[in-house]
Amino acid sequence: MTSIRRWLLGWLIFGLAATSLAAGYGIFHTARREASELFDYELRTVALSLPANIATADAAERSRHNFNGLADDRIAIDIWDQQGQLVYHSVKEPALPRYSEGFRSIERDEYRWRVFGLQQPDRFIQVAQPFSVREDLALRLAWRTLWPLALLVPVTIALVLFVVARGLAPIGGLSRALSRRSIDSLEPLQAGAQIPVEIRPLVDALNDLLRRLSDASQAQRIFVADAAHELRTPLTALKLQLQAARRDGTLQGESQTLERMEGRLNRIIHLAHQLLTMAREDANRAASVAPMSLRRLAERSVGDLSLLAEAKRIDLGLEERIGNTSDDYMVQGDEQALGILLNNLIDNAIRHTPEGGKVDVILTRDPQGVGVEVVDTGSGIAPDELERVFDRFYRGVGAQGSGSGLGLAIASSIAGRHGATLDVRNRGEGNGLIVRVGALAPAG
Amino acid sequence: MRLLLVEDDEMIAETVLESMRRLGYAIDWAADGRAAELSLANGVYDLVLLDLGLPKRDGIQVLNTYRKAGGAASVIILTARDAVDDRVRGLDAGADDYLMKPFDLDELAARVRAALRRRTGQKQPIYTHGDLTLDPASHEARKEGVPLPLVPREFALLQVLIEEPARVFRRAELEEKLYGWGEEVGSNTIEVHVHSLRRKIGAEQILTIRGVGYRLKGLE
Repeated sequence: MTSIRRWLLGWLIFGLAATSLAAGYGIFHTARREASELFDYELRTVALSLPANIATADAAERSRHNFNGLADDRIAIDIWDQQGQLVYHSVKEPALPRYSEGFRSIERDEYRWRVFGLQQPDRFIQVAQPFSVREDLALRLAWRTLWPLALLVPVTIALVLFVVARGLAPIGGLSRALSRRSIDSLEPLQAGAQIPVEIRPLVDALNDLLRRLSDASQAQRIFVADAAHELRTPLTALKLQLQAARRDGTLQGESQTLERMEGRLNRIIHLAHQLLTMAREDANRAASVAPMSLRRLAERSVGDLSLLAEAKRIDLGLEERIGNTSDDYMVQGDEQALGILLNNLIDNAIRHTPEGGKVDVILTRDPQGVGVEVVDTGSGIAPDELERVFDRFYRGVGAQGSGSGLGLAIASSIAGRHGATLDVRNRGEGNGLIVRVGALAPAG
Repeated sequence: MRLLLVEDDEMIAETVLESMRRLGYAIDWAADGRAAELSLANGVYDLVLLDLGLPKRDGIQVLNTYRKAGGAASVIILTARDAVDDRVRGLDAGADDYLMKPFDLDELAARVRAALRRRTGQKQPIYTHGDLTLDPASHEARKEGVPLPLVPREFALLQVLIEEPARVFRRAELEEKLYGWGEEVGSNTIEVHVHSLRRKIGAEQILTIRGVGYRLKGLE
């Protein structure tokens, strides 16, 4: 995976380090060379400025002054007279042999010396300085010129880190904003003024895409809603006609066949109804939530569906995990939507439970929030199909009855809108299915 | 009794007209909003069955105009629109009842009967549910025509249940309906009444909806 940040940091810091090294190397050597020239100049100055009578007059003074400064630098001075006699020798060590005029580097007794010879009318002066002293001083000088550079490097690295972080902040902000969005959100990205021109085209393109996607899905929802709505009227007519014809005897036939026809018709009506609910639920993502009692809602759903349960001789009842009849299970929710969700779950459970079975609606309260479970004694769902039950129009392989295949998809959409969980699992013991809505935000 | 059906779908209209006529009502048909307004201007109708999605003039508009002009007939809205605010809008505009498409002919007949009954001021009808009948006026309840020996609380309980036979009543709701303010109600009083009522009318007549409450058994 490539990272602009890593790339920038890597190259900037590596490049900076390399240049600093090269610059340091250059400065170091220049400084050394400069120092060397400076010492040569010093040697020359010493030679030129030696007093003429140094040999005779200052023999006594020497012991006092001992050329203090010079001695520190270990400058050796030798003076010869016109006859070639060594008349003066500054340091204890044996004098250097006499060389010709000018600068030269010589080696003697493991020491390297820098020597300067000067021919004056009445004498020959030779000053010499060991290289070790010169080197020490030159090195110290060179190092001293380097330290501002050494200080500069960490400061620049800090600056680079800061600038890169600041420079990439809008991109980071954009990707955070994208990852925080819900999957279904098609709202345009908030394009504030602080978006830099470099990524504005990206944001614009993304927003354009989102808008087109939103328009398309809006069009699709409207189409589904319209279609479902338009289907209702002819279906109503068909149902009324069938009922009327059966009643007045104009429609003759085996009553079982007629009943089956009416059953199929009811299923189509149910499907049209669910399609409309789905389209409406899709469009309704931002419906308002308010504190409401999940217990009252569950009582109403159980009450509404008790007729259907009774017809199938199914024992449908409302329970609670922790028996506390004074708990109303207040939640933050869209009452109408949660009613649809619960009705769908109970309706499904009744459909998939054989005659004489049992369906329990169980209110729960745990640290994650308030929840409700619908537990039936039906045949459950094959494990490899569990994942697909939330797909639209998915109906189990052995699905019987008049399900539309939309119930759980609608329920899932509603649960998602409430930030609640919805999971389906088979009962561990015996037959049956547990559909659990969990983590509804408690209220009051 | 004269009825007006306002419905643009011919198939639905035909069936409803025929069924209503078979039930002995005189019923006319208006196929769009304009025709409905013209018919309503006659002022001869006792009850209007009104579809909302109409050509030319929306059903709600028709209803608004009619009520503003002082039209007093009962109005039952028949519609495929089922969103709650549509329903509220309809009732706000002055409808008496609301029936969602697709509906049952039986249900339509029952709503028409109820609306006309309210209209004629017959406040206390005789309720029937399966083989049970209850006459609030004479305080008489019968099963298969045989009078039942019910004490007042049992009678009141049966009346509550039979008035809305499809509805499940919570214990607390029954307490409120059976007892006045400030009356002491024991924690299992309702259970006791239900138990004794079941003994007299047959245990299968009243269903216990576990965790919720009671209702009359369904008719099928």
